[in-house]
Amino acid sequence: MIRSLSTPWTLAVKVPAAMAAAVVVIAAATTALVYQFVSTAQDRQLASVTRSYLDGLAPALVEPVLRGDIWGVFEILDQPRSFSTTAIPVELAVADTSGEVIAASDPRKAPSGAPLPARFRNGAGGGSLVRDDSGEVLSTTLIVIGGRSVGSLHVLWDITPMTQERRMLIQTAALWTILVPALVGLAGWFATRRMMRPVQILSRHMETADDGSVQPIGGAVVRAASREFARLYRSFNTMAGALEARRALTARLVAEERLSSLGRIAAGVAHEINNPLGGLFATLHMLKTDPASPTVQQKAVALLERGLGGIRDVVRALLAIHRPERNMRPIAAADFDDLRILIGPQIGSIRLTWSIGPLNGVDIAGGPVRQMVLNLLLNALAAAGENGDVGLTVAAAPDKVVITVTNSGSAMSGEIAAFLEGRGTADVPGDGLGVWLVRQIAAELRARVTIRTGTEGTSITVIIPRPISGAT
Amino acid sequence: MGGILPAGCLSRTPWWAMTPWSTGLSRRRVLLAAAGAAAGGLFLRQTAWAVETEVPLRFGIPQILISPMLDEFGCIDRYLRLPWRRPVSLTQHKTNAELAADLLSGELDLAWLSPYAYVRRREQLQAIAAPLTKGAATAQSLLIVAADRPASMLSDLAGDTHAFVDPESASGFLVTVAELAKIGTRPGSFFNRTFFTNADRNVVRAVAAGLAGSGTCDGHVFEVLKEIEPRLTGAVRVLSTSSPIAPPPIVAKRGGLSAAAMAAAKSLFVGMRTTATGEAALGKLRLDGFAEADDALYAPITAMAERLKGIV
Repeated sequence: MIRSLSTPWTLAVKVPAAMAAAVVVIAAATTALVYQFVSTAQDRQLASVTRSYLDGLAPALVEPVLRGDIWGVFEILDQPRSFSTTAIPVELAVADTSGEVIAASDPRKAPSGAPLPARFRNGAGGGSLVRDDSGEVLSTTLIVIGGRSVGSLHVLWDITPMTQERRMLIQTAALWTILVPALVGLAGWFATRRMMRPVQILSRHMETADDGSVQPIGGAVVRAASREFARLYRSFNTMAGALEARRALTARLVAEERLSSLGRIAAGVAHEINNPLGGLFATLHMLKTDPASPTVQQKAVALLERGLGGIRDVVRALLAIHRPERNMRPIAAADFDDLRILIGPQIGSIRLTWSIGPLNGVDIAGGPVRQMVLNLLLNALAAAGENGDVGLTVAAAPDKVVITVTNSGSAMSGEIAAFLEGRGTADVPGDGLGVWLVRQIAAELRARVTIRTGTEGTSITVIIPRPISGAT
Repeated sequence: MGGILPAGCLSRTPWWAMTPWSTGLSRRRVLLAAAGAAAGGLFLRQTAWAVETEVPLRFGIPQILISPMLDEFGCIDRYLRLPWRRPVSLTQHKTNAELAADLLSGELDLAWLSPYAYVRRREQLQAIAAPLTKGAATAQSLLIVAADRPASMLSDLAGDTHAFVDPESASGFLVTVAELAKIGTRPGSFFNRTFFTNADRNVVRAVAAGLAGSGTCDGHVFEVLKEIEPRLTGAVRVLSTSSPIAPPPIVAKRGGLSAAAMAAAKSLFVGMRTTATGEAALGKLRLDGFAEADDALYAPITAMAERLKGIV
């Protein structure tokens, strides 16, 4: 019950989780790709921005640098620098060929005439781009006229807008990578639960089939369901109806079989009673012809006693089969004696081997065992045929009772053997209702049935586990 | 008449004190005024020089007068154009030397020149009018330093990087050289290094930015800057103010203009405050008006220049 219920629930989690995981993977992959792309694009843009900025400034600087014109250089450097959204030139310096500052955009930090500060020197070399740990980028270029370098331009860039853009990108992507799969997962959970509901209903109804009868799905549920599931429900209900009809049929057949075996037993009983009755009438006749003879009297009493005793035994056996309170009584050797009496009329010329071990303290209900063994014996007798052999062995072990019924004759069909052993289909092979009863009772007793069959005959062993002592 | 003034003429900022709009400004950049003048005024009929001609009057101004605003020039241009009924081309020059050279070569008809540049060429040039500040035809030179610098006199500035305006400027160069001469030294040896910025405002910028430790600039320009760019002037402080000197005159080449034209030009500047257009132009310049310039006004500068011969 728990397992079958948990399956749709697990699916309701598994499916959305798988969806969410897929979205996470896709989102992460996309983000990585986009980040890579944006980074490359930004780096390229930065290089181009710094390059074009330097290339724009350098020619204008030639003249003032040549003249050593501090103001001329400063005025070029001291311009509004909202040059690009990618990077902002924060500090500029122009040095002469000896590395002394001519002028810088912030003269207090890089005074004219002082050596070029170290932060401007890292990237010295035509137009190189050096990024340091602080997120500042240095770009430099030589100021050249007629192939001769007259000085150098050094620009420190603030690339915060660029890094911020990257960070924003990552943050946004991360947010979406969390949010979207969460939403997908939640939506998936709801959708799957909704989708699984009809299956749950179906599963619940299927579970009732364990008891042998299947409860059909209510009309309201069928009407409310989607077209596919309504069709499935209707199919299920048809199947449930068929199962129910079959169950009813089987029950009727079992009752009929009982009646039939009762008839057979009744015939046997009539036969058993008829035999002593013949003796009794003969005795009666004997007494009528010579009532005074003491020898006749003695003989008559003995004959009467034996004949009536026989009738009493037959009646007692009959009672034993059909008195319910006796059915629950623990099995005893007497039960098997009763069976012997009951099958008596069927024995004829068949050689019967009968071995009943002591059964004291075996706490197994006698009724079902008797019924089962009676059926096995009747089948065995029928299978053995004229002059055949039939044997019954009952032996009790501490944990089980082993009952073996053997018979000579042709082999049992594999289908029936499989059915008896509890393998294969639930269909009763052929018309063997006795076989069906044996299987039912064996199942009730949780007994294991093993069959060995061949051309020499068949041996059916039923092992009934004994209740664990102390449990009852 | 005021109705034809461009809107920009009424703004508070003097057009010559505006932030330079581009360092790549061509010195020969000619800013032509809009065509189509109104009908002629009083001067048009009174002056013989007011002939109907399309030859523009060429008026040169130093870089001190840089303006990014065409209509700021328009104020002066309009004033000059209306009575003369001829187009006016205003050209701004980087240095006084260039201005003087163009004037002498006939490239310019009139120029607004530094008094020192003028007295150096007194034989060839003639002062027409001198601007009046606070009612007087005087100017002053300032020594400025960074606002947080603990200096109190010129001698504290030894070893500085010093910013001058122009080598031919009186208030932006000559006065400080004269002060140094008084204590027996000269810029080249007193200061570690000096440079010229070609504009008074640039001297303030250089000192404010720390490019120069100190600077020499014009007092009138500084006063106006205090008004329109308080953040810039707030970064510096005035260390000392010189005694009054002569202001920059409007000059023409001797013999360059006819006597009548010269007289007309003189009366045009001197009478500037009497018309609405002229008043507006004066407002831009933060000037009270123009007075006739005479040689006596420039005698002290001439003397100073004489004394410093050999030093500058």
